[in-house]
Amino acid sequence: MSGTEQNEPVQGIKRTVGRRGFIAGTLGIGGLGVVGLRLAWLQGLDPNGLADAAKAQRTRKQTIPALRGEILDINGNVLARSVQRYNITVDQSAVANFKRYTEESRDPVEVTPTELVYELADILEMSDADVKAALDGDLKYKVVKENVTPAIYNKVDALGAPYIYGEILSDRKYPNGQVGGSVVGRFSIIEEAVDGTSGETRQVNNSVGIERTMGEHLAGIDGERIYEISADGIRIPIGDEQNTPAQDGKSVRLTINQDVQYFAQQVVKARAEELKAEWGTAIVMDVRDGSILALADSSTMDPGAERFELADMNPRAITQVFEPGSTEKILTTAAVFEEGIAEPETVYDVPAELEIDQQTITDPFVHPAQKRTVAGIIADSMNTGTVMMGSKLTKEQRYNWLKKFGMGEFTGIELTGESQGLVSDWRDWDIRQQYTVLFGQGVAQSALQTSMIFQAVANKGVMLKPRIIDAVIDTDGTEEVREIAEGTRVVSEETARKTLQVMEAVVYQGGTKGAQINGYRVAGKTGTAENVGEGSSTYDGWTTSFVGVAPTENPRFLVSVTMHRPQTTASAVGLANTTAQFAEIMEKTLHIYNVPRSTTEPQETPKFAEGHDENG
Amino acid sequence: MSAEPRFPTSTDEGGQLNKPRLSVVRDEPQEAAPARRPLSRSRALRATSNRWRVFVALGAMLVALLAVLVLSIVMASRQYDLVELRAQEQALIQQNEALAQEIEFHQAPQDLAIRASQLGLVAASSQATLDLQTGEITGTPLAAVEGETATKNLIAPPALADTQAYEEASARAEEQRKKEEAKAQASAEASARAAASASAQASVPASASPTAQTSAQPSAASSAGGQ
Repeated sequence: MSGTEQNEPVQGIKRTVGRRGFIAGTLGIGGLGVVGLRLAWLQGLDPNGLADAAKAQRTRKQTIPALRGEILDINGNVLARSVQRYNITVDQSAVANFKRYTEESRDPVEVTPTELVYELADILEMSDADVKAALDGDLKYKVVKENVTPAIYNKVDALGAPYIYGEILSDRKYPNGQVGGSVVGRFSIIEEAVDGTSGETRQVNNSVGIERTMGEHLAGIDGERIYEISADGIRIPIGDEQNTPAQDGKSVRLTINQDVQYFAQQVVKARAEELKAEWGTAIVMDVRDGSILALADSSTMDPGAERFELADMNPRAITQVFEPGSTEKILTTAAVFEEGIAEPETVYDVPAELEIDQQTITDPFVHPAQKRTVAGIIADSMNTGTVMMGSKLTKEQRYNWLKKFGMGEFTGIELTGESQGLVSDWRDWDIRQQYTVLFGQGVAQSALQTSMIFQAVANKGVMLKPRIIDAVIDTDGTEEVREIAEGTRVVSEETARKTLQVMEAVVYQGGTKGAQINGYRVAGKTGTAENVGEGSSTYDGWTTSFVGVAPTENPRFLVSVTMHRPQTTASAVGLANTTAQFAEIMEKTLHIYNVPRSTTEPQETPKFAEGHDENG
Repeated sequence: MSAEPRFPTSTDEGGQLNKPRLSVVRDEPQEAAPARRPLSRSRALRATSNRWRVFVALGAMLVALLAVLVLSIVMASRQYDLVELRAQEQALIQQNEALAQEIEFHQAPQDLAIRASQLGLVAASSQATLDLQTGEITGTPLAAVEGETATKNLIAPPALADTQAYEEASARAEEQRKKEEAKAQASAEASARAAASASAQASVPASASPTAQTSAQPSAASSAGGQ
C-alpha cells in the first residue's frame, strides 16, 4: 500500500488509486483480458480445430465385429463355425532388449532379441531363421505368423516383448471338411485393388454354396463402440461414449444329414474309383417335402483347405448337365398315362428295330419282334417301344411335358452354380431328336432335375421345390422354419400310381435286380446315356445312372446315383451300372430313419401280352 | 466457537443486553431512540446468520468435492474392473470355442468311422423294426460279421485345422491307412502264394479272364486262411 496518509480512517467513500496500483491493476486486467480473449479464441472460435483434434486424439472408434452364424446339419451338427484367431505381428523398429518381470524373482530379467527369437520359434513352431528374418528390418508392421490359436497367442503374450503384437481376426472353420463341403461352400471375402485408382480397394465376395446364398443371414451387422481414452489407455469414464452393439449373424440349419452325406460320399467315391469314372454324384431326398439329405460327389472341396479343384466347389448334381438317357422314359410314361394314350398293361407290337421317319431306333439288346406291355417296355428299357407309345404325343406335347416337369428350368435350390440344362424349342428339333427326347437323348439336364421327375411321381404327382435350408435360427434361439412350398401338380394321383407300378416292374421284373433291398419294396429306373466328351464332337462316352424310390407302397426317400464317363465299352456298359450303390445308400437311409419295412409284396405286372413271351 | 451465532437476548455480566457494535452505527442512549433498535438488531442478526451460511456452503462444497473424488476413484477402478472382465470374457469365449471345436472334430463322420473300425466295430447288415403299438417285428436282424468287406474310410480329415482333436484325427487316419496298406499287401501276397500253389496243383492257365480271377480270389483267400 502506498502512503501512510491513506491508512487513516476513511473520511468518505472516495479513494484514490496510486500510479503503481493503477499500472498493476491495468496490467492485471489487461493480462486477464488477453487470457480471456485467448480462451474465447480457443474455446469459442477455435479456428485451428484444436479441441476437435484433441478429442479425435483421445477418441477411439472400435468396430465390434458381428460373429458370423453357424451352418448346421439337420441334427444340429456344426458344419461351419467362426472362431477367433490372431496374427502375430512385430514392430521391427522397436526390436531391442527388454526387461521381463517373472514371478520367481523380484529383479527383472534382461531379454535380448536373439533369446526372444528362440522362444518365439518354439511357440510358433517356426524355424529360428524364419522368425529372425521376420524380426529384422525397420518396418513398423510385419506379420510373423498368421492365424494362430488364442492358446498360442497367450503364450506369445506371456513373453512380455513390447514390440510383439497380436492382431485379432475371425477365421471360419469347417469341422467336417469334405463331408458336405461343396454344399456348405466356402466363405471368402477379399479386398481387391480397384483398377485405375491408387490404394482404393473394394470388397469382392468369392464365397460359394450356402456361405454365399445365405450370406446375408449369416453375416450379422457389425457394431461400433466410440469412447475416449486417457494417456494410459484406460477409458475416461466421464468422456463421450456411444455403444452400438453388434448383431451376431443367424445360424442356418440345412436339410443335409451328415451321416447320410458321409455314407453317400463314401459309396460314390468307391464306385467312381472302381469304374475310373470322370466323376460320380448321388442325391438323397425326402420325396414328401423335397428335403435334400445328401448331395454327394466322388470328389469334394474341403472348404478349409487352401487348394482344391474348381470343379469340386459346387455339387455336381446341380452344376453338371448331361443327357440323362433312359431315366427320362419315366417322364414319357407319365405323360402317356396322363394323356390317356396307354395303361401299364397296354400292349404294343414292338419290332426288332423300329423304322420311323427314315430313322432307325434300336434297343441296347437284340430281340425278335415282341408283344410287350408298357411295363415290359420300360422294365427292359426299350427305346423302340418307348418311341412307339411316346410318338403318339405331338411334338409340342412332348416339349410341354418336358417343361412341365421342369426341364430346362432352374430348380431354385439355394446353392451356387446351378445349371438349368437345355431343352431346345420343339420347332427346332431335328428329325431324329423329336424321337430321342422320349428316351433322354437330345436334352440335357442335371441329376437333380432328373430326380425331380421321380420326386413328383413318388409324391402322388405333386412336384416340389428342392429344399436345402430347413431353418434360420436367430441368436436367441428362435427358429424361423422355411416353409415347404405347396408344389405344383404335374400329373394326377392315378397317373403317379401307375407310373410307380411300372417303376417297380423295372426293379423286380426287369434287368436291375441289383437295386432290390432286403425288406423294402423299391421302384426305380436305370439310365445309360451316350455322351459327348469335352473337345469331342461324337458320342464317345457314357453316363450311367439309377434313380429310385422306396418303399414303393408309400414312398419316403429318393436316391439317385450317377457315374459320368466310366472307363467301359458299349458291350460292358451294363456292368458299369449304379444299382448296387443305389441299394446301399437307400438301405442305409431307410435304416437311419427307422422306416418300417414293407408289409406287402411287390406288384407283378405282366411284361408281355397274354400268351406271348420274349420270343414273340 | 466464533461461528456460534450470538443473539441479542443473551445477557452479559452487567445484565444488560449485549449490543453489537458496528462502526457505522452510532451508540445512542437506549431510551433516546427505541424505534431504531429493531433495525440494528436485525442487521446484526443477518450478519451472524450470513457467516453461518458461508460455513454451511463451504462445508457442502467440501462434501461435494469429496463425493466427486470418491466417485471418480470408484469409476476409475470400475473401469479397470471392466477391462479385466472384458479380458476374462474374451478368454472364456476363446476357451469355449476351442472346446466346441474339439467336440466337432471328434464328431466328424470320417473320424468317427476310423475310430469305429479301429475299435473293431462293424456295421450291421440287416436290422428289424419293432412296432410298439402292435408289438409286431418285421425283418430279421442279423448279427454283424467281421469280413473282408469292411468299408474303409475314403474321405480325408478336414484340412488346415489347428486343434488338438484335428491332430489326433489326422494321426489316426494316417495310422489306419498304413494298417490297411499292410493288410492289403499281406492279403495280396497270400493270394499270390495261393494262386501259385493252385496253378501248380491244378495247372490253371495264368491268363485267366479278369472276372474269373476276381471270383477266384475269395476262395483263394479262404484256402490261405485254412492253411
